[in-house]
Amino acid sequence: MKVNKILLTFICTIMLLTGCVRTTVIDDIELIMLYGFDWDPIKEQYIGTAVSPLYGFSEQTSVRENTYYTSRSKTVQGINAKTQNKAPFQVETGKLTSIMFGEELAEKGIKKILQGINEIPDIGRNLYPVIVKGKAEDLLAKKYELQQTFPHYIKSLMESNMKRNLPNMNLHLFNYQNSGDGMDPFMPIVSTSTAAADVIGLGFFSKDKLVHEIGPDQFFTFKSMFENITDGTYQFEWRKKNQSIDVISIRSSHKKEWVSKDKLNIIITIDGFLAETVSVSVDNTREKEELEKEIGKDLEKDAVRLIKEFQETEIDPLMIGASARSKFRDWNKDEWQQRYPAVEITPIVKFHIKQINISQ
Amino acid sequence: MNTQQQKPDISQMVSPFLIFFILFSSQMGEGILSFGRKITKIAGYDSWISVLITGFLVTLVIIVIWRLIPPHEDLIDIHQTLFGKIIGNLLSFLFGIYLLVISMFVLRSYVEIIQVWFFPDLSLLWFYFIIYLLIVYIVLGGFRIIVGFAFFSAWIPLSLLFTVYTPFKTGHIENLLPILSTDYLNIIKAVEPIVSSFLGVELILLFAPFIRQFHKSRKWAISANIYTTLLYLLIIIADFFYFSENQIQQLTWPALHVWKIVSLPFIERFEYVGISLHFGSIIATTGLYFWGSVQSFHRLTKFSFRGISIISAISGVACMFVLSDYLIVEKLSALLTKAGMYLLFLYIPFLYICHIIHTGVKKRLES
Repeated sequence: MKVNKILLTFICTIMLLTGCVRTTVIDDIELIMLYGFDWDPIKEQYIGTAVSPLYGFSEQTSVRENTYYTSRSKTVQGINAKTQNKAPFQVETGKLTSIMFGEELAEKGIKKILQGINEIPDIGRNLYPVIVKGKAEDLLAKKYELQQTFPHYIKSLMESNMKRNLPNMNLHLFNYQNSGDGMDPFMPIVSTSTAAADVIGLGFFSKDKLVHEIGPDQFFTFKSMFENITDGTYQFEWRKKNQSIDVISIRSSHKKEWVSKDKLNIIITIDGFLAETVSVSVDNTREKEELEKEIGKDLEKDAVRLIKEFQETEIDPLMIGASARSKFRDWNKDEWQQRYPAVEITPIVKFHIKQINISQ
Repeated sequence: MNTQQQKPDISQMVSPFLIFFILFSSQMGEGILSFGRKITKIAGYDSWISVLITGFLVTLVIIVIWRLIPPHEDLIDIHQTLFGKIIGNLLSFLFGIYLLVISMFVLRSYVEIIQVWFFPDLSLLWFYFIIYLLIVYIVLGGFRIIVGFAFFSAWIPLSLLFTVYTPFKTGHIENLLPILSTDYLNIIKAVEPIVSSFLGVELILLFAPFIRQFHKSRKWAISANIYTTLLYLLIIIADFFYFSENQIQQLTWPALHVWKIVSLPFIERFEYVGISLHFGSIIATTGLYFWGSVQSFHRLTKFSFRGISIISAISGVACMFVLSDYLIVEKLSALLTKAGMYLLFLYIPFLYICHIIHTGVKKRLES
C-alpha cells in the first residue's frame, strides 16, 4: 500500500509538469498566414513580407485589417526572426495558407526559400505556392476591402480555381515535381486587381527558376493533359459557322501511350456538353459527329502548340519523362534531357457531347 | 504488485493467441515512421520488395525459434544446456544488455521526434523520468499487464491507417514501374535497414515459458509477422506513390510528411495526433524489451525482479546524458540494426544447429 501512495504522489506531481514546455495562448500570438518573398538585387538578400490578420478583441469588431511586416534577410529563418522584432506577439507560422514569390525572385530561383519553408515542421503541405506579377510586397501591402481576410481570400481563390480551370498544385506537389526525375513544377500567377488579386496565368519552372508562362486561355488545354478534370470550360470558335461555342466538360481523362521510344500519344477523352449554342442547332448524328471532331481538332491544335512551347524551353510539366521512366527500363536522366525536345508528342482528343442543354 | 518468479506458474501465463499482439507490438516501434528513407536510399522505388523479403526471412526465423525451444524453457536454459554454465550465462547476459539498449533506443528515437516536432525545449530528464516510472509500473505488474498493454497498443497503427488514403488517391502509381529496375544486390542490401523494424521476434525466446501451450501458438506468431509485413508494405507503397525518389530521401520521417497533408475539421495538422497516438506503440515496445532484459538479468542473478527493474530504469534515465547527441543516436541505430540482423539471421540458426547436434549426441549416448 505504501508503494501505491508514493505512486499516487508521483502521478499528482506530473500535473505540475505542464509548466515545463512553452505555452502559446491563441490571443497572444501573431499568426502569420501568408508569406511573400522578393529579391533585393542590390543588397543580395530576400525581402519577406508576412501578413497576419489580427482578429478583433471584442465580438463587434470582427476582423481588423491585415497587418503586414516587411523584413530583409538572407534566410527564411532570418526573416522570421526579424518579423518577430516588429510584431508585438509571438510569431507562429503554423497556419500558413499560401507563400508568394515575386516575379523577379521566381526568375532568379526559389530553391533556398523552399528549402527553408520545408524545414519548418510547423508548416503544412496543403498550402498554395503562388507567383505574384511584379513584387509580392506591393500586393500584400495594399489595403483591401474584403469580406474575409486577405490570406483566406487567396486560399479560396486558389481552391475554387483549382476545381475549375487551374491544375491542382500545393506545396507538396510542387516539391514532388521539383525533386522528381523527368518532371518540372509550375505555379499559378496572380496580379493585383481592383478587388484584390486575379489569377492571370500559370508559371512553369525549370528546376527552381521561372522560365515560361501561359495565359488563362490555355488553362483548360493544359489541365486536360495534366490531370483528369471534373469541371472545366473551354471556348471553341466554330469558324465554319462563324460561332463561338462554350464547351463545358463534365469529366475528362487522359492517358499516355508510348508508340515507340520517341513517339508518344496523349489520349484525352472528354465528355461534355455545349453552352450558348442557341443559333447552332445540333440535331442529327452526322452534324453532332462533325462538331465533336471539330472541337477535338481545335483542342489538339492548342495542345500541340503548348507541347511545342514546353519542348522548346526544355521543361516537362506534363511529367512525360516520368512516364517514360516507368515504361522503359533503360531510361536515363541525362540522356532523356537531351532527347526530350525531339520526342514526337501527339495529343489525340476524343470529345463526346453527352448531354443537351436546358434550352434548345 | 507480485514479485516475479524465476519460472512462471499458471497464474502468470497468457493465452497462446495473445502472442499475435505481443509480437506485433514489439515489432511496431519508431521504425514504421522512418524506414522509408533508409531503404529508399539503397534500393530506390524497388525497396518494397525488400520489405517482402525481410518479412519472409523473419517468418523462417519464427519457425526456427519454435523448433529451438523445448517445453517450459527459455533462452537462458538453452544457453546453459548448450554452452555450459559460464559461457551460457555470459551469452544470456549479453542478450539482456542488448534488450536493454534496444528499449532505451526505441524511446530515444521517439523523443527525437517530439523534440523536433513538438517541443524543442522539452526537459529530457523529467520526460525520461516519467516514462520510466510508467514502464517500471507496467513491468512490475507482471507479464500479464505487459501483454495487456501490448494488446491495446496493437490497435493504434490500425487506427492510423486511414491516412494512406490521400497518397493512394492523389499519388502516382507509375512511380513503382518498372519493377526490378534496381540491381538485385541493392534489394538484398536494403534488407539490412528494414530488419530493425522487424526486431521483436527474439523476445519470444524469453516469453516462451509464459505462454500457455506454447507449441500451439506458432500460427499466431506467423500471422502477426505477416500482418506487420503487410502493414509496412502498405505504408511504403503509399510513400512511393506520394513522394519522388529524391524527395523521400531528404525526409527524416516520411510517414509524418504523409500525415502533414491530412487536415481534419477539428485539427489543422494531423501529424500531431499521429505522433501522440504512436506514443502508445512506443511504450508497449519499450516495455516489452525492458521486461525481457529485466527477466534475463533476474534469471541470471539472485536479485529481485523489482530491484533489477529499478536499477535498469535508472540506467535508462541516465542514458539520455550519453544519447543526447543525434549523431550518436544515428550510430547506435546502425549498430543495433547490424546486431539485430546478425542475431536473427546468424545467431538463432546457429543456436538451432547446435541444438540439433546436442539432441542428436544425447540420443546416441542414451541408446
